[in-house]
Amino acid sequence: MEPGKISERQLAFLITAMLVNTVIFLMPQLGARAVEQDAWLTALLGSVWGIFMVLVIIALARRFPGHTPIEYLPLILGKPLGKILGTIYVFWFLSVGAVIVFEFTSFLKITIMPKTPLAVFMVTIMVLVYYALRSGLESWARVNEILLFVVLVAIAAVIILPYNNLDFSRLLPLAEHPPGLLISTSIVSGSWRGEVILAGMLIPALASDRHTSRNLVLVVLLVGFLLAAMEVSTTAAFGAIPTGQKEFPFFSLARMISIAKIFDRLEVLIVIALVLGTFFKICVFLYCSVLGTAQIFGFKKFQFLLLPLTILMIALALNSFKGMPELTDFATNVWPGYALLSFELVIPLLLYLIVILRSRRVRKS
Amino acid sequence: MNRVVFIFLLVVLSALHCGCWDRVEIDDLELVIGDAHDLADYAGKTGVQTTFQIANPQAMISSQGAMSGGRGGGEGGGSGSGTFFVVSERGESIRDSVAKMNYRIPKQLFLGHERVAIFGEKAARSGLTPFFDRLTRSRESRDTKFIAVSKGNASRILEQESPVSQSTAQALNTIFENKDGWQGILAVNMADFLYRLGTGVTSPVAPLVEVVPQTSMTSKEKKEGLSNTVALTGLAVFDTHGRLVDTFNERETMGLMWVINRVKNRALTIPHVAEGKAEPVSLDLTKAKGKIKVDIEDNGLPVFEIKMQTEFDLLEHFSKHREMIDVGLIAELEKTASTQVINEIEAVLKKSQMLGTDVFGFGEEVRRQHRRNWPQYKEHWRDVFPIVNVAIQCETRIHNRELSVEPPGSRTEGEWR
Amino acid sequence: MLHFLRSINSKARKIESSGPKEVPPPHDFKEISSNLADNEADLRQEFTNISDIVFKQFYAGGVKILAVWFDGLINNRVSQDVFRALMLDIPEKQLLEIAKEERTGLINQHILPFYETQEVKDLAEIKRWILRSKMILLVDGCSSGLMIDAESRPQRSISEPVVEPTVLGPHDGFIENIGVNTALIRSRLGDAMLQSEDYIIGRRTNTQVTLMYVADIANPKIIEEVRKRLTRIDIDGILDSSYIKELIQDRTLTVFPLMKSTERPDAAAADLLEGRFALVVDGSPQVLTAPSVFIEFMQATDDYYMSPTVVWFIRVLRYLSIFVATNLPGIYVGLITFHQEMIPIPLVFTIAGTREVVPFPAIVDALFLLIVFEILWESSIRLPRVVGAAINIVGALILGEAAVQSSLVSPTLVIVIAVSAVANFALGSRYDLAQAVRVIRLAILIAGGMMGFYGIALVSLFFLLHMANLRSFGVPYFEPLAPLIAKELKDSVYRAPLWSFKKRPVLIVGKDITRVDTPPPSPPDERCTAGADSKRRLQKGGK
Repeated sequence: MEPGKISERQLAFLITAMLVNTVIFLMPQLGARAVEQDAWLTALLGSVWGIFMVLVIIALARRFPGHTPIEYLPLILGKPLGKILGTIYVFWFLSVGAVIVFEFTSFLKITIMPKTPLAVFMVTIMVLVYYALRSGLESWARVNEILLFVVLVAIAAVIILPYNNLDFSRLLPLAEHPPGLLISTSIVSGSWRGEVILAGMLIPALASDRHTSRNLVLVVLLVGFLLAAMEVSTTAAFGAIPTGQKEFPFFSLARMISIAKIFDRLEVLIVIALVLGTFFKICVFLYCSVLGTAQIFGFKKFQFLLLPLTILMIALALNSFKGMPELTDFATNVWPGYALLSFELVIPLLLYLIVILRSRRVRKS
Repeated sequence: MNRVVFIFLLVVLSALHCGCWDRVEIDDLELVIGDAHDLADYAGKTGVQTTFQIANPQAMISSQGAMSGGRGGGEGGGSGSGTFFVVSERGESIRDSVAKMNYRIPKQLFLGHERVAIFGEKAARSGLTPFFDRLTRSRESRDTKFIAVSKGNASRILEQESPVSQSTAQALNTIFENKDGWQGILAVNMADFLYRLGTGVTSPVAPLVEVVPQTSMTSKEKKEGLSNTVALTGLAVFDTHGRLVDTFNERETMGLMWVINRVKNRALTIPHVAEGKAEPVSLDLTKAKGKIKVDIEDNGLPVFEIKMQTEFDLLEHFSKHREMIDVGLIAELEKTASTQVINEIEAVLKKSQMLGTDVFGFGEEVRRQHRRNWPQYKEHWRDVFPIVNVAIQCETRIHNRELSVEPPGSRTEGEWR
Repeated sequence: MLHFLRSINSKARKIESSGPKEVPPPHDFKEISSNLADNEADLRQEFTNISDIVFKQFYAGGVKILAVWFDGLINNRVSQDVFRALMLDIPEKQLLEIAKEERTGLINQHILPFYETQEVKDLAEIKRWILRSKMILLVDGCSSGLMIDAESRPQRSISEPVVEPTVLGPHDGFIENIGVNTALIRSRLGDAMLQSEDYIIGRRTNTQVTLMYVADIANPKIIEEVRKRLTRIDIDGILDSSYIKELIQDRTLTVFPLMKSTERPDAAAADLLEGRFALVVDGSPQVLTAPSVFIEFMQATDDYYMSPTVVWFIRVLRYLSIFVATNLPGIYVGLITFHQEMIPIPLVFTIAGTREVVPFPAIVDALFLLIVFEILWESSIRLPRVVGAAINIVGALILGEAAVQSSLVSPTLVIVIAVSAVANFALGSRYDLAQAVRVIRLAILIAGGMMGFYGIALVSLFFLLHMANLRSFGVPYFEPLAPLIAKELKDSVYRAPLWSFKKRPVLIVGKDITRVDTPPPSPPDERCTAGADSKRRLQKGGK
């Protein structure tokens, strides 16, 4: 499982795959419920939060080149506190990964194969994740480089192809809701963008570091744009209220594609394309969990951790939620606090401030 | 090496032992292509009657060789071997009634190919909203499914054999797919209907279908008595809670279609007075665009302006007079056409204001164009709408006249000079 | 089979021909005795009970000489010339007059008019040369012997390779003689930098293997790696180049080919020009080239002989074919058992109707047809030609038609399997990739039957991950798709015109990167057509 070296482009593609996949089929419903037709504005605002987080994590990475966040936490906060926070972070990686596995497999089960037990989806995809991780970071980053194109084409197809059924006047009036509400919803939206801090765990594996911050900012903007476009399309197709009433507006929108009787009923293909993308998202989360665990305990060779952590993630995923209602509730109420407001933005920001203050103090004396 | 084998076996066995939960052979499915929902008595209270029109693929295969024209139905034999059959059941809810069908249908019901949902008149009057829950929640339904309301019981529509196609559900589906926007045909799918319901102030509409006598039959059919077919006869209008209020006739439907920009293909016939007689001129639509503008007057009421722009080609002059060469005549025709369009819109405006149903989306326009004033109207829109003033303008242009300059027979030799 | 062939003693050895390096003497080195009788006794003991070996003793220049060779493997004219030169044309007593040790050298350099000779000091090597159909001269009193390459093995003439035909382009192909094969390559690559190193591999077969590469293009690290792997081979016999391929590949547990084998000299030469190395194995018409990456297997030699625009279309078709060949049966089965809502309406009724009379589930049907097809494939390869026609009729018409009519399979399924099978052969005549496709197709079919499109997605992901892991001599299998080296995509899905192939593939190459420097084609600067125009110009006194 040696990490090898990945290129900057591969990192950017991985982060894109990571950010775009789950948000695209959860957020439109949540956005519509909170701010109706202005959901797309919150998607773009969420990118602003995302850019913040990119800048923070890159700044920290520059201060500690060649180190992952788990490695430099003890350097900033001292060994005991750093290790404890590191362990919490690793658990955060693991639990969020489990949530993602659950939500994605639920999505698959509900939309495509309803009678198949959830565990089957989880085990099959995790076995493949295990196989991928065993081969080393470089190889699955390489496959993602090839496959991301498919995922993006599928998403673009869902946004653009139902143009016959889109009525853009349903997006008016613009910004009908108070700015405060828009901003608080953008926090929910931005929390998904905040998963970009996992890039911090991958940056040490980069072969060269010239354009990383530019790339990641572009990735965040792109994902924000795609999400906004998705919300525009779903609102234009169904209207704001019905969008909030559907569990998966993305899927319902994919069903509306109907061109010349050939490009009809393609929603299954779109969902399968998403499988190809979400697979790599899960790979990133598991990889960060394994790497983080190894770094906390100081293991140099950590192949043996892979199997137990994979099984642990499956177990967590199976037990995380009872079903989609609980998950949606989690996503609206718990997730902003569990993610953006703590692990993704606030804590890294505080860490960076500590680093700056400390270096200033050193300079003074 | 052993490890790889072990893992491989683990995966394979774990996936194989099931029998594969979602695997269904295609010939174990009943392919439903249309459904109808009615209110009916069930166990002493009001329940739901669901009717499905189901395909019989075997009969289609064997009758494919025998079919020449397009007559489906019972050509290939007696009852039971037709290409479609109908099943109906009652229950407390839609899902409940469908579940009860399992006792009399051999295969598993498959709703993925459904295209049309028909609701009975009684069900529509009592409110369609509860019916939509199952139809939107089900993963087999699509938002592109077409909706229609039937006069009387909806099951009659599906039970009716169609002399012009294989089945009534398919016939309706094809009309909605291909002729949406033609004359007075307004196809409404679930997304449209639910959007209007979601606004809270706009009235949803849906096409009205009826079983009507067939207008022309072969002598064999007259003997056999295959005399009915299914046709679209108007537009059903609902209130903001999804309850059927009334219907629009053809003229009113066409007027509505102008305003909401759903006209695609229209033959407008206007009278043209020549030598004291009114002769019909038929114009064919090439382009139509409608815009709604809202202003708030001093008394606080919104006033609307509908601006229509239409373009036509001259397609028929049912006469023997020769005046079509004159360009000034074209201008006259344009004026008459505009007046006709305005009349149609006025007809539908009058009726909908009388019913108190905002079918145009005026409320939504106020919301979009005057967002600050909207909250004060929203609650009372049902009362405000009937009293608003609406000014209608129409600009028409007539372009070409196909292949004739003037009607044949209107001129004889020597009359050009 | 490998276990069976493996032996302990013999290792591959590099022949000291023109290489600059000193190879340490092998462990079975045996000094040649000065006494001819000893040598002869040794040789006779080694070659007991062999009836087709010839020992000829004669006197030349006053000295006794022993010539040993295998009957039938030596060009008779050459051997006659040897004897004439030695027995008739040498002045008498000439060999007696010089120092004993110099006798062989004198014969080699002054007497025999042949160039393919070599002095040998090792008796074990003498024996190997005899076994490799060379002629040996042992001179009494001298402790070095002479090897004369007068080989004339039975072999066929050069013909077009059966498995890789082209429409345009050269039609010669490699044969089983290593000398001819290297000559075919050498005659195409007239570059002094084209090096060739000989190895003898296989204890009992003593097969000659030549490693060819262009010194300033190939990556020296890769060449060093090949040398290491070749000398590491320890096996009883090499009967075909595919044995070498299996023994030196990066990985064996994969369906994908990691080294290219070709019967076409122009293909081998093209690979050499790109910095790859070639392994020519005696006795095999397949020349191996490596490192090879995936997109190479999707290229056909014809692609370079046709216009780029046309080739673009054909390449796209080929990628489509590989997709169809691997996925079509799985997609079809997944479609009709899991995702029936995707089938358009009139088709769904037809399929449902035709499947209703078939008793088996779709996946069983598909597996059955696929297995029948694979059986047909195997049998048509091994059929004697005379029986071929009859069996073909049986296979194609009767099996297909009758199966459908007896409701064992549904007609749509027959079409699906047939199209997929045919698509397998549109892959640019790369037979090794076609084999991989057969396995992948089966895997995807089973996955589709078990979990529909989700299963197909997972299995495809598995294969992609596996391929991403593969390396051919250190070069990633997906290069240049991933890591994405855009400049090298010129030969993947489309083929850019030759003038734009500026550089060689980066990961394979050593120093000389630039390959083409021609400017792109453009119309001539001046009108050179004769006609009214130029006449007018001449009249007006223009240029």
